[in-house]
Amino acid sequence: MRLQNLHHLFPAALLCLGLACSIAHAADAIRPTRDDEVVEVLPAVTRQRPQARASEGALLQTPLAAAQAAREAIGVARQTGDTRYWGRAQATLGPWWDKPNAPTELAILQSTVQQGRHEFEPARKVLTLALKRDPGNAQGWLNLAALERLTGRYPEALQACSAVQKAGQSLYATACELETRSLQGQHAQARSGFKTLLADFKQDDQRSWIYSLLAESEERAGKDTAALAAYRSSLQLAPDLYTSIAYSDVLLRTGSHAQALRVLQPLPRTDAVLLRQATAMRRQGDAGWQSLRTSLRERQGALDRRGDDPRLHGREQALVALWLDDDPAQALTLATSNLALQREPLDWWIALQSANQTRNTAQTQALQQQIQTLGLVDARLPGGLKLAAEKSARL
Amino acid sequence: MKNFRSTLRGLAAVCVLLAAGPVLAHKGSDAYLEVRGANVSGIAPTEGGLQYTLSVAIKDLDVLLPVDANADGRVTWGEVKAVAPAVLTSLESAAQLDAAESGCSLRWAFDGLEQRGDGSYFRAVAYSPCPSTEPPRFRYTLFRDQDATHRLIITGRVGEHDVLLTTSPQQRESIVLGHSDVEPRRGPWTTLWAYLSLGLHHLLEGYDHLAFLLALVLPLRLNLRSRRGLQANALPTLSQQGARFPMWWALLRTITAFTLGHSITLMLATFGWTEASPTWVEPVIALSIAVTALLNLYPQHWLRTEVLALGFGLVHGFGFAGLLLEAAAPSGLLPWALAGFNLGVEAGQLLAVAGWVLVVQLVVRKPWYPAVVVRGGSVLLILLALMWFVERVV
Repeated sequence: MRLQNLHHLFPAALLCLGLACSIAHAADAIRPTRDDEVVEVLPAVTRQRPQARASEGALLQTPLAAAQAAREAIGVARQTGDTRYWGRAQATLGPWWDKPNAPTELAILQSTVQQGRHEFEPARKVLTLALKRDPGNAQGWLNLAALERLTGRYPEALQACSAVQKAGQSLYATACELETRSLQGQHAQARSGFKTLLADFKQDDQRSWIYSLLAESEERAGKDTAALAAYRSSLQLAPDLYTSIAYSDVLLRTGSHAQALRVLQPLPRTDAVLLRQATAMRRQGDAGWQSLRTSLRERQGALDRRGDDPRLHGREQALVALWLDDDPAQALTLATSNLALQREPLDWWIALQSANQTRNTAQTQALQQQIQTLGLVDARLPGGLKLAAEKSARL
Repeated sequence: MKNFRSTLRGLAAVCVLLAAGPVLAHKGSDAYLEVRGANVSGIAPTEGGLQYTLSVAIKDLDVLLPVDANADGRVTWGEVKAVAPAVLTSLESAAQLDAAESGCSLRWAFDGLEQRGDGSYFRAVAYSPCPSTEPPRFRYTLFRDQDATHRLIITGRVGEHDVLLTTSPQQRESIVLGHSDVEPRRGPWTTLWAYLSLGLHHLLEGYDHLAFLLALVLPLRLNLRSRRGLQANALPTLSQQGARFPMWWALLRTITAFTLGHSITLMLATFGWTEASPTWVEPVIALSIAVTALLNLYPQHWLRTEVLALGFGLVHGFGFAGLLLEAAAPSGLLPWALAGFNLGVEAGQLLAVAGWVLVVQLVVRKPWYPAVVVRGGSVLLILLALMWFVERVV
């Protein structure tokens, strides 16, 4: 009987942990006194009211309108880091979602939504099927190349890049190839290639994108000053959440914590941002980092409560263990299983850092072996410079 | 975008001031439903009806209705009040009790705002006065066409059960606000496994069942060494074994009889065919230990141990059933839960007996075994059982 009572308490305890914030706030309803008091700020997408909402149901039935609405939602999801907009994008694609005869455009958008939610394998499946039906779709091939790079399949990425070329988008194809080659260690070639592309592309957002690719390439080449300059140029042309976070990572890595905090401060407070803010504060000796750690824990509880797959956030979880919890063993476990999901340089870096800190030389060697097999060359990875030097000596 | 960013900067500053205060979440859209018994002091809150509190993000509502009426991206209190009647109308169909409860459908009322991790929420309350013996069924379809990953998180307490559920508007069936569902969408195998471990733990932690088992096996001199030579010969048949190893054969018959007994009543009670009140079951379980131990001191040859085990097994089964019913086995998966629970109890029994057999090897060949272990142990068990009996009756 007593046991049984405990049994009942358990979910309640979970609830308190997971929804601590929400429960605390559930006490009293707020009723502002002034009618003009602003109670919520909406992201751009819902500010635009394309025609009458009442006829929206009918409107969205056309693939064109659905694609338009999905693109808007995807844009907001990327800019705000608010995952709910991925759900909205999926809803607008609803009638065509997972349908084998969906128009290519909509299938590609579906895979974009899935990629945004880190569902890389399903995204790849949808994309591959769509491109079989419509091999001339440059956007589709570009997305596929990104997915291949993300999972460390560089030869496949290069194939996708040449398909972009065949689809008639040679500038994008060049950028695609340069990025992949840079991952494989051809940093100097990538640098001059990107600089040429900066002259070819005319629009701000395109140039901002090339600058961010250049910045990442410079990081892999071990040229942090050049990388920082390229990140700044990219962000000046067009602010972007992903690029800002990558910029802050260089600053954190090079010990510019105050500057990293300034970069992070205006960003929407996603888990990735919060984690980096906490890290910077901690390294500066600011005790406030602990409340951010608590927030991250509460968010994890809320995610679990929703039934979301925790493995999709493996990178952030490993970083939390490594940077905030001083638990490299846990970080190594998380980072290693995360490598099954994504294999960007940062993912290898986290795994290697954790292995180093646990003094797990066997694991370190195994990871380095995997990196070598993959063909990734990155100065930030322990042993990466040596590899890079060998590679350039061979060329 | 510039405007939005500067606003965010403002928001971020406020958040830092609040220290652990709300922050924008990195999760999909959630709405929250809290269900509570309306008469807090009552013994059976369902009899007094239930209070429902629903909180929906304003960001989400704006996709359904023009909450931000002037479309400037800033929702004011005035705008929320103006749109409230339309929101309540939507809720009346999208967040409602099932048709079977038609007489007591929810009528939502606007309660105000609520601040949560990812922004401002519209809060509505409703009261269902219907007395109900069945847990209510709730149907939720809000944002079904607008957000594919929207979820409703349900918390609170209905009757005797804490509620902690997650549902999606994409779900076709209504959700029963009956019991916590920490592992949603349980299948037969997970049910079997979950109840197996429940049964196992219950037996190993249920000291009275262990004491009864001990009373049964005490007089059996379970000497492992007497098996010597068994491997050398061909495997004997069961009856030959019985003849050769009478104590082991007796153990097998006794444990099987006990199992048979409690399986019968457990099944009968779980399916609701018989009922037994803990007020007499619990003391009788204590008595069963005392009687069995007493029979070890004064063996009655007309009473076979397995008959005793079977008879008292029936009573112990009612004890198990109470636990299984409290654990609120999902009705569709009841056979699986029952099978799992029984298997768990059996596994627990085997473990306990195996443990006893190993421990007893230290003393089983001593000449004083019958006097000290059997008689002494039985006296101790009688005293313990009588103490429990008094505790349970008073």
